[in-house]
Amino acid sequence: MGPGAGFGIVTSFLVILNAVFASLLSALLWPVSLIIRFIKRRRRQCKQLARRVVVLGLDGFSPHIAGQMMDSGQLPNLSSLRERGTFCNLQTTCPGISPVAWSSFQTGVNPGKHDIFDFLAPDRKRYLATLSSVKTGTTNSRLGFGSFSFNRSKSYVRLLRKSRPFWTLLKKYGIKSTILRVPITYPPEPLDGQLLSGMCVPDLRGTQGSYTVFSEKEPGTIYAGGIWQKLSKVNEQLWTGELPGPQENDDECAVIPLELKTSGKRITLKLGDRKISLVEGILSEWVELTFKSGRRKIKAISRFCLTVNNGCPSVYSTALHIDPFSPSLPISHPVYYSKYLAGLFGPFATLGLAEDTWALNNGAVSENIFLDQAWSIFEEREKMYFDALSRTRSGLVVCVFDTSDRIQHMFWDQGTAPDTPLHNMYLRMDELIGKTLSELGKDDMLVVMSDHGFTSFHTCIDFNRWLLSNGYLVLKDGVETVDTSFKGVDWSGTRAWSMGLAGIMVNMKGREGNGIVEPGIEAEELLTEIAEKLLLLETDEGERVINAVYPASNIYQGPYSADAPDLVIGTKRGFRAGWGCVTGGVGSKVIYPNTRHWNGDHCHDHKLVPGTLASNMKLDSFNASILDIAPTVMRVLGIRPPSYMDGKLLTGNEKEQ
Amino acid sequence: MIFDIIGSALTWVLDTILLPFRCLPPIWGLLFISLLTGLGMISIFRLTSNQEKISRLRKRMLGEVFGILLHVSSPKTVIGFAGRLIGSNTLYLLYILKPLLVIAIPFMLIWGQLDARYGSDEGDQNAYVTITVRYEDSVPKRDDITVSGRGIEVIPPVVMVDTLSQVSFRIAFEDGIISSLNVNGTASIVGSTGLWNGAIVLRGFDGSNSLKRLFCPWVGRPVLTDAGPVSGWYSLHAVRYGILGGHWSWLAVFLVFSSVFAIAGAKIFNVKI
Repeated sequence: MGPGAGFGIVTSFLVILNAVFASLLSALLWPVSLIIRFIKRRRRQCKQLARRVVVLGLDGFSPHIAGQMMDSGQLPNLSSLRERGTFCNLQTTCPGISPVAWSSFQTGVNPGKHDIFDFLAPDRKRYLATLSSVKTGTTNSRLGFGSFSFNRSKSYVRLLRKSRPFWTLLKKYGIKSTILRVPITYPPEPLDGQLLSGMCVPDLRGTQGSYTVFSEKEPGTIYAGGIWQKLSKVNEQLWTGELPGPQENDDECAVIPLELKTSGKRITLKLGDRKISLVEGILSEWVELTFKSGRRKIKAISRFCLTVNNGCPSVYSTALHIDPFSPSLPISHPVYYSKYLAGLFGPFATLGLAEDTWALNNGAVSENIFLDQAWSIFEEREKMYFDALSRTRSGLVVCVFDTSDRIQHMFWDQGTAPDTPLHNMYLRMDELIGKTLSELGKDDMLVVMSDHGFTSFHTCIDFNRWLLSNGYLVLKDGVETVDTSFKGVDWSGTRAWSMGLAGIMVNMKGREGNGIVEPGIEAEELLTEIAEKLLLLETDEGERVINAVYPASNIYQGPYSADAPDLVIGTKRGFRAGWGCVTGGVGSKVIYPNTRHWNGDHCHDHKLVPGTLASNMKLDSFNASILDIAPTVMRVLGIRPPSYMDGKLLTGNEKEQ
Repeated sequence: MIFDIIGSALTWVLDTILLPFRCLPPIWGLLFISLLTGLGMISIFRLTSNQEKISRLRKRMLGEVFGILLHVSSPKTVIGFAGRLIGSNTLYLLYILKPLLVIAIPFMLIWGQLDARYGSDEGDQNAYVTITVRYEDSVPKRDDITVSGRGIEVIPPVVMVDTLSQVSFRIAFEDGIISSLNVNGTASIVGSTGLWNGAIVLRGFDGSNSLKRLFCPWVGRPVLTDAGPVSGWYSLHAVRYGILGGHWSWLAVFLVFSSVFAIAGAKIFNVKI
């Protein structure tokens, strides 16, 4: 009927026509693509050992806990892998931190060759913490000429990880890959297949995830990782506020007006022209939001949760995830891969660190809400993963699930007794392995792996305070403590400083902005002295807290080794770098209890937190390392790994090797 | 009776809306009505459709299209996605069925009004118009047939088709007069009912069915006599409108421009179609 019928009939006709045309075209092109693939596959240098390799990454999946649960008759699917294939520890990188370990996984090289040594990379000239894997910035250029010229600024996002992920090397051999949410793949690099970026994808505010809490009164908690927005009471039924979005310029950001209305038991949240019903204590579905920044429309998705305390409402909003259906930043390759996934399965979390650990740490959400969020993200990923498995019948599928890492970070202290979050998580991961096994054929190889294990984190060590106490770091007169970014540090007297989760740097002349230590013997002697003293560091009860100190020159080889911290500190189980000193703070105590909800960790001596390796194939488990996965997978697919890779083959001795 | 009242009211509304366009070329009135129709239909569509479901389904369909693009080298997968796409499309047609049914009646009424106003030439002086009238039972004898009119000239011969109870003859229009026809006492208007652009142009008459006249306002209501015919139709020429170098029928102009305005409206008012 008129336009409506016109749209309906014309679009339907076009849809059917296109569907038929695409099918015919695909059928016609199929022999051509088959020939091209056949020619490319002939480039393989050795016999292919599996038609398809599936790498199931379970971040932080501990071989220790898994082993215990298997021994007590739980985790049947992992047990079956142990019986007929492989189950062993997987050595992680030094330090055993996700960005470092996953970078080594994908490139097959040690950190000295991929240049990722921590979450944070110290800016040595300004003594500031920067993100180690991605650089986002703006370039300004002047277009036109004379009085007709104007300034044009253009944003850029650059991946700082060096070397090449092994799936980009497969293209030459006609092997397709589907890579889902592997950390340090943002922005995505081209490959033959599709990729959805993982850890380090920012939110729309440009952060690694900042949630928002709306309430009438400012909460007492320090909101690291989140922001507070005032909820103004208009009357007994109506509150208003503003949801801040992406930054427009230095001072302002785009906002969406917010209205919270109660009418009887019904509570409605209006965000711009979107209206959703909220139920107290229940996380809403994803809500699509559109921010208007100048002429641009920037789309985001977020979830909301209402809590009411003494009649005062408070609304929690997750970080503003990039809308996968209209991504404002490149989060997938090809660009429409995220649209494909969002189209088929609905909106999904795109933020690198999607589970809101900060919100739970700060008490902005309850444990139940955090768990709901974590498991719904897991379910979203599961759908994508099984879609990839069903559509990639040969080649490579890699998918990383982060739920295991986040739940262990937040619930380690509850142990692994039945019905605890950790126990349930290990059972569910085992179910995932089982479902995966049922999807595999006899020519397929499954690799279940984790980047590191887990242990407790009950005590913080402030390395900067320790350096201060031992005379290596000097504060300006009158300064007792430093919150962040070394504000108040006297660099003219400072010989060493600590930034990141495990690094100590010498304040080296010519390298640091205000360096005073001469490179060479003086620096070497200083490092030896610090290392020796650190190993003697102990608690008031006399317990040693440092397991090992690794000089960078001993553990890293490659062109980027010089970017590494001079010393990497391996703490004992339960001890980790304090929250403040990670970003350049100097606290009042060297050793103090960790009171946060984040009570499990893996940023200890990497030898204490190995990852897990399990497979349906027999692999050489002796000294298996995360660096070995890339060359091994390449070999299984019939390709000789490049010589620059540091990993060894786990497929045993063969002539081809 | 009720249909006559609704029809008259609708004609009055359209006459009023088109009042500012009476002195302009007819295409302007047609474009304006297309604009109103496009926006009106899109508003009704928004009110009567499940926007959330349509939005989700369209995203899914786009996802399926991307699925075809992603797996173009695998015919099995492509055919699978093509099948899903056709299935989703069928679901889409089901989703839009309700708004289409709601829109159907008002749209048919507007359609009839526009066809009556912009579909036919109001009476070209340079061409003959053939008029055919139909009698209820049998055609009277030739000598008993009387044809006269105002503003027209009847051109002999009068042709009788006994088997169909029909009589045909030709007329020529005189300039600037609202023309009327009288056949054996049955009187009706021929061609334009007004001397302004956008007035209804009658292409026939029918004394029996007022519902037909509601949806087809180009059918006039005659003054009937027992001896006269009960219905008739006139072979007026279809009008063509010159747009973008082409010769467009009113229907083409209306469908294209109402669709364009509807799409623009959907974009502006964020309606998922």
